[in-house]
Amino acid sequence: MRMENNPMEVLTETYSEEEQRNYAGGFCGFVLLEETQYDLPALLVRLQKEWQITPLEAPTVQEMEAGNLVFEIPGAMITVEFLPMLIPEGEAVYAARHNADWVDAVSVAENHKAHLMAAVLPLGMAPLEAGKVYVKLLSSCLAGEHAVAVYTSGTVLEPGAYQRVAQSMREGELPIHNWIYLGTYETEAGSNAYTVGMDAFGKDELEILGSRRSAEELKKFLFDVARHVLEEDITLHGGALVGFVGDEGLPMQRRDGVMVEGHSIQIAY
Amino acid sequence: MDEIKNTTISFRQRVLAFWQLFLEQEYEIRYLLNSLEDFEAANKFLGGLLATVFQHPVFLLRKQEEYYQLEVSADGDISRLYGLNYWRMQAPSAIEEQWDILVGKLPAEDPTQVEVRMEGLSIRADEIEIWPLFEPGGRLGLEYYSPEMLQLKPDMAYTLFCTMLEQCIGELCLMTNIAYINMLEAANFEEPLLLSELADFIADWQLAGQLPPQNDPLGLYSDYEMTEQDGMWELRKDIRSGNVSAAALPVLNCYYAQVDYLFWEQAEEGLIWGFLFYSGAGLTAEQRMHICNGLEEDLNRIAAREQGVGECVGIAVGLEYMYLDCVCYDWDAFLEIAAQLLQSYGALYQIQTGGFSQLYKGGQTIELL
Repeated sequence: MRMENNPMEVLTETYSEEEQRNYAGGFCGFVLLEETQYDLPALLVRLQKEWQITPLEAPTVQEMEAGNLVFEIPGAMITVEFLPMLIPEGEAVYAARHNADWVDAVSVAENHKAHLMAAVLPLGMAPLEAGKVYVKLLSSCLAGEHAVAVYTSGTVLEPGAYQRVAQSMREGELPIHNWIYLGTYETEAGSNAYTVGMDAFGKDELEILGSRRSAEELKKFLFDVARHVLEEDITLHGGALVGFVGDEGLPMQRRDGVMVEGHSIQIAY
Repeated sequence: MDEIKNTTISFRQRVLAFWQLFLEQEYEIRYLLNSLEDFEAANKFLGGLLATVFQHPVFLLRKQEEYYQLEVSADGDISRLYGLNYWRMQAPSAIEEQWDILVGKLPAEDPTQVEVRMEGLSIRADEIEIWPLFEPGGRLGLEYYSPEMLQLKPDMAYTLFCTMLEQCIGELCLMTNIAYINMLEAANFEEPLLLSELADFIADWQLAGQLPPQNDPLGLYSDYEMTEQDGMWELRKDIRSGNVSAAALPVLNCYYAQVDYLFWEQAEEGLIWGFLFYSGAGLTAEQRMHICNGLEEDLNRIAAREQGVGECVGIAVGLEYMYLDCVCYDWDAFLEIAAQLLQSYGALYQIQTGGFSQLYKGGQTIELL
């Protein structure tokens, strides 16, 4: 999925020193379970065997039997908690409706009986590395018995699809599809698209509003911008231009998000 | 040279990460309490969140009418109050709409109802006789008499009394106002109070100015003097007198007793106890104190109030060195600030030697001058 032939660049014209960034924090998601039980010790073993994620100090069996797996790795804290209940207020079902690529998303979300809350808190670790650890963590959670879906970045994803993207990290790929949800919707002004998940990296979400292009074109474009921003650790600024090298730069503005909380970078595409 | 093991993350980072996670996930706790009335699951979940900061959190979760209450305890270790207080102070204001976050166990609403039943005995707070004694320094000694407790083994009776005492007056009040307790084998001739009446007694004497005005153990400071020690030119062995926060005293006592468990328990959570020191050679006594006071003031202004990475909790005067005892919530950041301050004073006063050392025997010492 690399844009080898169409490198992207950001043509900056002006910077605003007063711009405030969205809050950048940890990575947090949920694994939906079809039964009210989950084997946390086995998860710890999988993390070590599959991804070489090893606690600095091993959690106790007692803590894991209580439903908590909390441990430290260099530069980050990892926590997985088992909750014997549905995700409250139908949140997972609502999010499942955003995944048009998985026919069963809503029914799986409706029928889950328990869930895991899984978080990676980067405390010194670079956001990109923490994001990779997060994908590895969720992938290992999904490999456990009774795991039926993952709810992250505002949508519900099918386990197989999530794990395939996770495995692509072994070939040097960034798991963008596991990090960033790309949403589209139509209004009278035209097609619109947005990202969910950039904030965990300390980046503004991206939006395109009132475009004449198709939803698929918008998603592809936003995917490329998001990947470029994350790969190169770029901070986009209002008043700058973005585009593929050789193409005309597209203006960006930093404003209050329309479909996302906080600020977003709105690109005229 | 020993190093900090088992953690690469400062206490400050843990605390900030906890509050971020709590802010995002506290709705699950409320849902468990409200919709499912599953207190056990709510406690387990909250315990898991707290485990991102504290190795062994001791807490109580309550659901009140209009809000939820999280009470976190120092569990008898007054030195933990610094970390707990810091953790509390970092709570985002957004959670205060629904949550009341407390450090220290609250007293029972009605102390007359405090009762323990064990080994066939019923021991009530309104049947235990006590005699409070005012000690120099403005705290209380407590003598108590209970025929039922005399039937128990002494260590069991002591533990039980401490538990009931804490339930009657609250954890912070106990730490602030009670200097010692002593069980009597027979009732004193003087008119006793009942344990259930102690909270009101303390409140009255606080108003009268005979006890600390607030139940704030972190606001209590103790003076101490040291006798001459062997190797008195080694760090801290030349100390003659000092003044330190009551909450820091256990750590200092452990250091001198060469027992380091308190240091390491908190170091595992990223909280580091240490001391800044500098040589007073060539300085007058007045200059030594002036520098010490200046450093203390600057450290508490910059490190504590502005950046929240640590604070100064005591000062000690030695024959060779001057010392500032500190608690660091972010060791690297605090060390940077301490280094800058010491170097600027060092340049001004031609101080030859100075550094920062961790507060355990053989602790890592970093030279800053």
